[in-house]
Amino acid sequence: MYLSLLISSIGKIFASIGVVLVSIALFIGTFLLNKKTKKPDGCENLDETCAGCQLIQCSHHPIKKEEEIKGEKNND
Amino acid sequence: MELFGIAFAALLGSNIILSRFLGICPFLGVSKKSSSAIGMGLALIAVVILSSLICYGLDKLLVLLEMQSYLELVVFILVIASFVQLLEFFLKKYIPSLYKSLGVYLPLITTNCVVLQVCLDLVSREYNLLQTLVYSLSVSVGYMIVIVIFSHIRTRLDNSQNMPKAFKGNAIALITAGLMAMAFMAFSGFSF
Repeated sequence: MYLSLLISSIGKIFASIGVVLVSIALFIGTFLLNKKTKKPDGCENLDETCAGCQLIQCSHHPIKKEEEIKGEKNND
Repeated sequence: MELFGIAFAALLGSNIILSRFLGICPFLGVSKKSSSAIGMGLALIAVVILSSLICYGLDKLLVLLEMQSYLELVVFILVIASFVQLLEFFLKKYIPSLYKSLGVYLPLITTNCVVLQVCLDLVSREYNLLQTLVYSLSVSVGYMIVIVIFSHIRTRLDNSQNMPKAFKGNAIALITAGLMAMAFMAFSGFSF
């Protein structure tokens, strides 16, 4: 009885790990699919249209671009 | 009547921005122009409805596995992020005009905590499928209504000549949001 209970609980743990792994794989898959898809004509430089909002963590924010340029200059 | 109560509360009475103060970053950031606000609202409606339906199904699976309390947050975040990537891919491929109009605001939906909160609400309130659909639709439409109204107010405030210097920008935006929250409190008195 204890053995069957242990097996069922171990099975649930493995199933849960499976759910998380499937979620991670789903994210990686959709990310790569999106990254490899070519942007439509006229949308190549959409980042330049962004004037910046309060989300400074966003990769499109002008502050990030300034930091990138500074970083490249420091590397040179 | 129960569904109407859920919809009314999510739309106006307990509006997710003005009564729970969630999604404030995009609310302040993307409300400078009404066209951006409408685009953000429409994209949010699509993401909230579809990700909440997926999360509803996943929650049932996690309940069966008795791992709901440990894994729901991780799984929901991954589902939302995946869904935003998928939506971006779909718009790039099939609706390029909408992709162009949404522009850089599309990836911002991933960081919008409204999407995650809707999924967590569904779990904690134990809604069924129909209630889930009505709730997610009402919350996202409520978000869109508020952000569009706010963008129109901000446009008028930006064009105002008599604005004191100290109030310009985010200061007056936050005061306006506070006044809107007080106005929307009137709806919380209704009960169905």
